[in-house]
Amino acid sequence: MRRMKAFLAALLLFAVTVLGCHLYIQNQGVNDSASFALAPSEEKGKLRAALTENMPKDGYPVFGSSEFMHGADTIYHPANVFAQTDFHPMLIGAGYYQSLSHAVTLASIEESMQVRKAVLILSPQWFRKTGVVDQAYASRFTETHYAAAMGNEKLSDETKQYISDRTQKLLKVDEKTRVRVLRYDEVRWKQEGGPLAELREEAWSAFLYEKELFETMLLGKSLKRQEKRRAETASEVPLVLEGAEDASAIPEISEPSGNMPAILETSGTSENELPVAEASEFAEGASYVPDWSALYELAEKEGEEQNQNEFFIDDAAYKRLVPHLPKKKGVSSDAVKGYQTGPEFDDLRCFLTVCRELGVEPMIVVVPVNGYYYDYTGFPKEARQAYYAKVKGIAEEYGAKVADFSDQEYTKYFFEDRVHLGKKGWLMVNESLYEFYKEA
Amino acid sequence: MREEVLNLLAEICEDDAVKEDLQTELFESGLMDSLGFAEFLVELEDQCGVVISPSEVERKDIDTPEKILALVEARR
Amino acid sequence: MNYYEGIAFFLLLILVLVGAIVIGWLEKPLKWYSLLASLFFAALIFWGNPAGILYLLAFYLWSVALIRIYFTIRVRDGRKEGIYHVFVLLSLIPLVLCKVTPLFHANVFGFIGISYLTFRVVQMIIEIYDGVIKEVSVLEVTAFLAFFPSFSSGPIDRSRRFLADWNRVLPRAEYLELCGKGIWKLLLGAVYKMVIAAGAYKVMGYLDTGTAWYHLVGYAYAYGMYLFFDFAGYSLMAVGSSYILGIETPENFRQPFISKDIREFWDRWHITLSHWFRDFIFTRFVMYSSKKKWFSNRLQRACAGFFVDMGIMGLWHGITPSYILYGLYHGALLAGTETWQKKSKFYKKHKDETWYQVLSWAVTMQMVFFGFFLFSGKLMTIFGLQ
Repeated sequence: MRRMKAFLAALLLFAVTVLGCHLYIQNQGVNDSASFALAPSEEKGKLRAALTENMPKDGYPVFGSSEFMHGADTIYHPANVFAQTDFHPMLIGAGYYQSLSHAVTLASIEESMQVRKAVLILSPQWFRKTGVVDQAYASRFTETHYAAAMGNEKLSDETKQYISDRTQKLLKVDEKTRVRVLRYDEVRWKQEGGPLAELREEAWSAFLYEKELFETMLLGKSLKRQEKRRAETASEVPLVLEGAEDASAIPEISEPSGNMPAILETSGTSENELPVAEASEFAEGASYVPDWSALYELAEKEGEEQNQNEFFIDDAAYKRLVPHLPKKKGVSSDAVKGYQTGPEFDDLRCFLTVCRELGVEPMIVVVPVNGYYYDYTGFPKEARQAYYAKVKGIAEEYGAKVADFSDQEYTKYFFEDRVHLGKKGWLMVNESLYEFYKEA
Repeated sequence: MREEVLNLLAEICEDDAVKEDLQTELFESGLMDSLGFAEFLVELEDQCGVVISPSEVERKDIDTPEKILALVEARR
Repeated sequence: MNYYEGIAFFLLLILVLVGAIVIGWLEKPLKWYSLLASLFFAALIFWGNPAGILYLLAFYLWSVALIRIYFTIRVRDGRKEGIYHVFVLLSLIPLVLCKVTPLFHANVFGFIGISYLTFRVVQMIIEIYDGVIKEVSVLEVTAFLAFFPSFSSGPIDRSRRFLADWNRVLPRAEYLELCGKGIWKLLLGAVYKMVIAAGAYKVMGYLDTGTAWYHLVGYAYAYGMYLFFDFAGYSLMAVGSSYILGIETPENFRQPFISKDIREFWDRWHITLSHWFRDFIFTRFVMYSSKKKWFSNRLQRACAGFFVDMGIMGLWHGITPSYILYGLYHGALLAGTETWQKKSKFYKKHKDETWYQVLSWAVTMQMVFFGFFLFSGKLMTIFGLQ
């Protein structure tokens, strides 16, 4: 009896602790949706509840990969550029995310999207002939997203079948999850699991939800620290009042520039007169847009100071690259078919199909490769052009908008390093995001 | 009978002490082990006609000469 | 679903055990409840595996028939060695088929639990011969064979001990005491298996990727730890569940890593298995060979007994080079230990001194972990034999 009493007491303590944790994490999540949306983060893409609850009314999801982690401390990164504007995109992605993960995520969170648009930033490196690597897909695979996607009634059976088949194949490296995922197909999609299986899934989902709340709490705390660091950078982003022509209150306003940095090089604004505004100076209710021309000018100027190397990338990145350079010379010269075959193209089609079935208007951002560096490795120009043409062709097939930067391979200071967007690269992408948002 | 069993035990344990101290711990002291026990059972059957199955008794029921004597008595 | 695996099993286990606690608390018999629960789990686990169900049913009918028929013959004709051997062999047929057919790429009688069920059946036949089992009821045999907590991998209980527990109704205070112990064991077992063994498994996975010698040594130790905590954890959960159902299933492990020699190790490691082998193979082999005068002295008889005992144990694990080697290895160790302890003056002189005991412990542990390494099959993989 003594042991029984001890056990019951322990059980009670356990229950109280669990209940306490449960209650505590309920309201410890994210308290600023806009900054959550903008924050670059490895974890947030996995937190379904956090994504749907914080989906901004003045923005849409932007799906990408490792580029989000690059340049987050510069004024060119979307997290900073849009921090104080009327547009707050939900940045989703980190390394190892590719078209297929994003297709699943989109199908999972679309109900929370008021702005029915979505952007996918394509990295050319996704299109190696292996497609997404199984380990990579497994590491970003999120059961809650998958379950919600399978339960999304707008999605056709064919699309679900495609996602399911691909997932089954890629999750071979994580057998336990793979088998569990099969049950989502049964219960959420085909609805033939029976009441017992449904009950089991409900219980498991409740557990996953608690886990997610807990992780959201942890992420919320780390994002707060991150945001403090970024706030200063964000406040340095030059802004103008929307409808800049009438805003005589702010001097030296430049016209939004369009995509070509060449226009900017002749722009008259000089460094000293840049309209850098402090957050506190903003008038109530007024909405601000990034001062693109001022930003491009800054990018040009900083690039001239800092990116003077053979690839016109950030010096820090270049220094890290130098020791490896000798063995990279000409290594890719036989990649005549590089980036032109493999399953990623079908995964991209799947993403676009998901958009179409959900009634979400997609835009595909075609990021170029770094021309200087790819020439160095000998990656054939024809292969690069064939890749751009192929993805643009697919986008066209689905009537998707394309933000095409394939002609920027040789734009100086476009890249931070060999592959990731840098100063001008981010600016151009940001501008296209903003325009896509403003379009009717 | 009693004499026979004790002699047998002393022979198996290679120690006459078991005849004097009937409370000796046979297994813990190392006087007897599985092997000795098996041979004891064989001899018991041969010499006294008492059949005891090896799985019939637990160690704690036969761990002193006294307990063994009681068991054999009960079986006759 | 499988015994002690997955959320579904544990949720059902909790439900079933809560029911048992209510019945036990009310001082009502648990025997019908535990039998029903056993059939329920067997049905659930074998569901969707028609071949498994057929083999299980065939095994059950075959075994019950053998026990029943042999009992009738034994009562009528008394102790007849010939017929006794025939029935023991007949009761072994399913297990032998199960272990041998994979060598010919077939799988006859391969179902969860057959290795352990066979022990229970053979034990009953041997004890019927011994005249220790004095009555046989089909219902009781069924309850003994089907008992779910130890169905898949033991501990190996004995029918008379089990049925005495099964038929009793404990007073409330005694039941609650037993139940409390059961819950403790169940939880401790869960920690062993799901926390410690799972951790050791991760370490193994890491060490498996290395090729240096110290990776291999580390692997052997990590594997030993994994093996212990996984199996001891399972055993504790089985024993704990049994207690809550009012059955005091015997323990399987008793701090094996403090053993000072190999014999002590087998008295602490997988106890119900080694004691089964001791009672039904070793002792009987020694008795038989001593009657038939096969060997000239005790030591020879003992050493032969150890080899037979452990050799059969190796075969029972499975007919693979690793398991056979593992069995013979332990047979050799036991025979060597026996010879050393009986013959060596050095041993007799120093065995009670601390330094000898520490040294003996350290050497024993190395031999034990090398044994696990053999058991893991890794050695065979290295030499490309498996």
